[in-house]
Amino acid sequence: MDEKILDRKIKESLLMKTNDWIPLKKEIWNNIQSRIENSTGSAKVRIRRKNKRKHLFSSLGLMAAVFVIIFAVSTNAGRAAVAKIKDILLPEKNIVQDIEGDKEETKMNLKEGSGYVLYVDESNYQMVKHDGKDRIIPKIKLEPTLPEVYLEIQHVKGKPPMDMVPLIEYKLKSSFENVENYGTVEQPIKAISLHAHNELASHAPVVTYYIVDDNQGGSYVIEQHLFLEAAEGHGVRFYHMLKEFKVVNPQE
Amino acid sequence: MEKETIFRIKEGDIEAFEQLYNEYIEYALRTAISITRNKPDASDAVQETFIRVYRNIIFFDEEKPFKPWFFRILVNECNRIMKRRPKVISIDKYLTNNSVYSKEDNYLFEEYEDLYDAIQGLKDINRVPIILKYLNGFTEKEIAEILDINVNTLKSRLFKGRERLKKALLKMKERRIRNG
Repeated sequence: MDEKILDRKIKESLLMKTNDWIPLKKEIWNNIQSRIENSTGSAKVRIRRKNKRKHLFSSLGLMAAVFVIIFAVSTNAGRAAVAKIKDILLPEKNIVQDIEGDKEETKMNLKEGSGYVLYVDESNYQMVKHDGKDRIIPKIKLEPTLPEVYLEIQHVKGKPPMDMVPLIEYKLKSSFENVENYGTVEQPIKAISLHAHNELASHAPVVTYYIVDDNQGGSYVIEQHLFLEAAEGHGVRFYHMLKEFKVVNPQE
Repeated sequence: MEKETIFRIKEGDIEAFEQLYNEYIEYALRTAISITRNKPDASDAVQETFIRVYRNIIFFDEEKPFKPWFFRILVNECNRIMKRRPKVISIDKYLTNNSVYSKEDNYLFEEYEDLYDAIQGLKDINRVPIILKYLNGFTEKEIAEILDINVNTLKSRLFKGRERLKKALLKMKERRIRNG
């Protein structure tokens, strides 16, 4: 079969076989509306909405405003924001990652840190406290002769990423021969990234920093510490965990 | 237009949310029906998706395209719901267990039925990218983002999916001819 004809037929068959979506439309909307009304604690959203422009806030807008006020005055604002975002994200999800050439489906669990959330592969890693920082470490202990493997997350208040860069660069240069500033990267997260290593040997430590703006004048400093041979295993797993790192801004 | 709608939803405007719902519901349902293979699950997945979108939209960056973000949530919801069910049978078993349609059926209709059945008999890693590409017209880059895989992996899955479809169609055609 001609490729273009096959393309057209695939599309047409999918459309034809899903044409019975229309009866579901109204029913689903009614369910959604009812759940929104219940969650806002108001049974009158539908009635109110017609006049909402006359009010400063709609019932939902008011809810949002209340949240903002609560966050602004509460010392627990960050925790509340994290709890809120945790409620709306999937508690777990599956991803497929390429581990040393093999596809592997991995379950990731939503975890809460200090002002952020991320998904952690809890079948292989655990999140622990280390010197007051959050550290994700392998569950299976590595041989003591190997460099440490971890992903460490630290919230530094009052120091934006640009201020953190020279400090981290200085620290890295004291331990590594090769230190590179990658500038702003988009993957796995939007951050300023620094990379350091010594010789290119399989067990040589490799450190990558991601410095993420916390949107409140501070930074999240994320240190990925592993060794060269582990880049295709732990490195890929850390990459996928970091892809879902989200700063939860109380002001939002 | 969409940016404005999203901005209004963030401000709590339920009419704007309804507008977004009306804009997205058709292809959300078509996609969910195709992925979950049944209407009750599709209906649940779509409902949960819109609820998640409503509650989560405050964290959505308006500078980014909304559609891939929406469909990423939808695909995740479909997968979550499908995990509650036993796994679907493979394409070979599917073809063995499914008799062909009567020869009185309109040929074109029959061909579309066969093609749809063949799509549904593919493994999920090939099936879902095909649904997203052909039903929603997403680019390969967008599908890769929705499914959180790299573009090369996606290209390979689409290619293999199409090749398997061709083979399945051929088998079905041969069987129809044999059955007269």
